[in-house]
Amino acid sequence: MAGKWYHVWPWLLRILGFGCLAFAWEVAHAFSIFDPTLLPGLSAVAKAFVKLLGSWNTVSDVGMTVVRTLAGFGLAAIAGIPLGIGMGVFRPVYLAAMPPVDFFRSIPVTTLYPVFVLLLGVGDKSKIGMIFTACVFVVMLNSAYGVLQARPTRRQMARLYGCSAPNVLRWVTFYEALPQTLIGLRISLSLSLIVAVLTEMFMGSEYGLGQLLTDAYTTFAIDRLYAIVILTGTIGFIFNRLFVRLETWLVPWSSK
Amino acid sequence: MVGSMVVQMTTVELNGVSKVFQKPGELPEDLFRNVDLSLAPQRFAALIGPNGSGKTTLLNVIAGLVEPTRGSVEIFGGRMPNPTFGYVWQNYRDALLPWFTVEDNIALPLRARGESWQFGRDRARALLQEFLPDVAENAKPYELSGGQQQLVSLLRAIVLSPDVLLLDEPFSSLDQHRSWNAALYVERIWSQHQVPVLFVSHDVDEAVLLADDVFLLSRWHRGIVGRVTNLLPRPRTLDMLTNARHVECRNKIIDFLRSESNDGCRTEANWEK
Repeated sequence: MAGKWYHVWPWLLRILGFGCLAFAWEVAHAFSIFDPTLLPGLSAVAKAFVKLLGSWNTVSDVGMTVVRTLAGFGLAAIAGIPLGIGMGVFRPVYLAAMPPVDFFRSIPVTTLYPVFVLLLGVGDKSKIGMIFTACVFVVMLNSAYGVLQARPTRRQMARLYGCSAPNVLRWVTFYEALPQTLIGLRISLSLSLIVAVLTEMFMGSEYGLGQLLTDAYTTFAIDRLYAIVILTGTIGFIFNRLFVRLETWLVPWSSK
Repeated sequence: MVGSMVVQMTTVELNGVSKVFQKPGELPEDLFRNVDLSLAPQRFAALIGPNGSGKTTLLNVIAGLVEPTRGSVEIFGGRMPNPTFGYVWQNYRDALLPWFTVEDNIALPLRARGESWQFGRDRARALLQEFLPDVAENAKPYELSGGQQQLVSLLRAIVLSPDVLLLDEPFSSLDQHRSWNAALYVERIWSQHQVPVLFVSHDVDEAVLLADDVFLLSRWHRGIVGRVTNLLPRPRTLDMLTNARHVECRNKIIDFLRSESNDGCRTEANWEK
């Protein structure tokens, strides 16, 4: 037997989900469940999407949003991973750092918006600062958990064979924490795109998908608005896919 | 019997070793007490006992990973300042490093002691070529079978030419015939290195096949209650599994294990009344 039909044509099911969604949209539009001007038909949105992609300015908008996202995310990773590993390795650091980290993680970064504007203004510093703040605690916590969940046998092994403390860190603990660290980074990457678009919408900027959204919204360019939403979603989707690829390449052992 | 008349150079000596565990709010409980045990390089020693008798803890006490509550462990009569150990853990998935290649795993103890990776890899490759020619040196551990992984773990254990070799049920997750074949590998490697060894097992045939002395660790009596000696010549073969001497040793151990089972405990408890 060749296998179930859904093993033979897996792509069929993969596009079926999107198909259902598109169908529901069209039905909602056709029966005027919402005001048809506010929920335009898919063909109109598709036309706006093509027009959006055809514009050179879009490249700058996407570019600036991606740069801000990656800058905030990158800084959070550079700071968060060593801090998190430090928390996991040294018990006193963990006990001291855990309550504030847990507290700041629980503050929705949006409530800090006025603070960032007051302290850093409305430029890129402020935007990247907010992305960094949204991500750094998530990265720290996941790296710390990665270390804490490490299998004791491996550290015992390293100790028995005479590895010094820095070597245990380099050869065992770092890799043990890596799968959980990457999970933290993947969550953070999604978060950083959210915060990037959000700060662009509220603070404004010359280029950026958030600014583009605000412009479309305030000028009542509804078709264009949906096209931007879809473009932003596509970028998030691509980020996530690329990151999953990176994970399987970096930690091939984690599923074994 | 000439061998046993020669004064043996004992290299690992446990004197009155006890381990007490105390959970918070409970009375302290002996895991084992007053264990005396001698390991010599020429005699392969195995340790057998029911679950919970403290076999692994006893190994860890010898390796210095666990402090005994009472008693002492002397290696070379205490004359060796920093003895080295080779250790094979029960769970191969946990003990090898999957992010390193097989040769780097084997080279790790040398690297940890300040040799270069290159030196370690050369040694690792030589060991692999001699004992595991089927295993590619740059394979990752998870690409190997369970038995191969444990043998890689064993090569890592001997790469330093350790002073003491400790094996904690290394083949308990393998099929019967595979674990016996792996056991014969252990004999081959051990006979070339001739170090004091303690092989923890709960497979009776495997223990008898490998060992000169099988020590019996009782959970009921909290200590070593006997020694069964296998006089069959080396190298051992799988044919010996049905040899009368093997069977005799085996039966003694099975009697011991049966007395350790719940039935045995109950009988003894009744008898004590």
